[in-house]
Amino acid sequence: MAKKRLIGVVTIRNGLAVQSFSFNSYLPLGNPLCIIQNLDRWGVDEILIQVIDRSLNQLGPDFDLLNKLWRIRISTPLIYCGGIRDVNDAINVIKHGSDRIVLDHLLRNSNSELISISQALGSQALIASLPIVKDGNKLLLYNYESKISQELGKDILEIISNKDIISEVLLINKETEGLPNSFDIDLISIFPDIDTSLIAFGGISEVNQIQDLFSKKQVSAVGIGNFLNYREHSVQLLKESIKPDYLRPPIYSSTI
Amino acid sequence: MIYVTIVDYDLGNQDSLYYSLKALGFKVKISKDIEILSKSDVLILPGVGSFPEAIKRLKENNLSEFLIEWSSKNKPIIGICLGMQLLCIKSYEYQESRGLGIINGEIIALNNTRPHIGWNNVFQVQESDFLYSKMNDFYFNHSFKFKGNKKLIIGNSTFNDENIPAIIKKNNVVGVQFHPEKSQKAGKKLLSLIIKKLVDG
Repeated sequence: MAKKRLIGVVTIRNGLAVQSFSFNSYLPLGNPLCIIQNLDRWGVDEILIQVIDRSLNQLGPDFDLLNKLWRIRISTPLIYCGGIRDVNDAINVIKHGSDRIVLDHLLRNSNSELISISQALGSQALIASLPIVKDGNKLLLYNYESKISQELGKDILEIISNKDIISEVLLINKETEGLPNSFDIDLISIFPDIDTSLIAFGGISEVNQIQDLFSKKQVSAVGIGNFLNYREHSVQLLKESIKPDYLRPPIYSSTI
Repeated sequence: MIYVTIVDYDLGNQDSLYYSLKALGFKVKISKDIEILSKSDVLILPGVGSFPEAIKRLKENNLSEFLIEWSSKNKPIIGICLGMQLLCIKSYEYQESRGLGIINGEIIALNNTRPHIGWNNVFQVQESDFLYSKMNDFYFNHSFKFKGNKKLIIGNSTFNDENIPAIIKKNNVVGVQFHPEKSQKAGKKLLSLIIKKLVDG
């Protein structure tokens, strides 16, 4: 039986790993390679690297970072986000060792390019990023480029519902991002009833919170950012506390 | 020293595979040059991509005929994820497309409406040199699966009660539906074992 996943999220801005607070302020953490190497060593299920200044500054994907990653011998599945402009960028990101990509800018701006990417890489490689702001019982999509939130459009709903185009949705609680134990679980029940798995992210840090999210059928994974860096072996410690049905067991180097 | 060449068909996660294999102590190249490919002990077809795009790129790079001829001489090939699927006769991903036809089987959509993404166990269904009764979790990421001669399947996985052929083998050709290079230490150990058994017996 496939298990749910604990995803270590590393946010990078100006070449440094940062803790992001509500897409608004950023606390520098240091060399992203050290953080990624720790997550790999602790046996996290996937690593999501989001380089948040690439699309904003039209820099394209961060191939330099991807090259450095494989030289430090990461052997954890990798999801990359940041600066992907077209199908060639997407293919090159995969050639540089990523297994999957997250698309945000293209999801909002070019459905045709997104579909071309899906046809080249297969839908299992594509994740749609949806930073969400809750407004009563309504969900608004936050555009990090214009900093404006607006209703989830029909075209985006059609894309994220189509299993031939994308495989999962990265559902980000924009307001609680960076704040411990604060993800609003109501987002899952209010989210449109589509048969696409959700990766919950933004303010997730505690065992009970993760278990509550995993009890929801739609949730296939949770993403945790800087909270994993607070202590050594945080991934193994979390996994030991979570019901074993949900996750693959913790991995310690000495047990293999 | 075992010489491994990753077949470069302009698609697939070749760089991470390259560094994984190097870390395992193999002499590794990434190439589409027939002369370099011909001098290898084992070829690896990497994964990540859609079937129609991958088979188109194999043909554009004049690699299809070479791979078919290579396998007809019983030389070792390992296909990973999409690479495994390309070894088969045909696939129905997006459209019906012909594969390399090295392994007798076809690639069909999963019964599940969601893709099989994540870590899962692999259970032995036939004896082999590199698989034991139940293997550690490996990382899967696919929406299509192998359907064919059951005698070729040596390891299975299950996803929401659906059987997923996880490892197939025909003579010196091995296909793995999961990503051993991304399955941390357990995956690297298995990948190393498969290569050594195929080359050294």
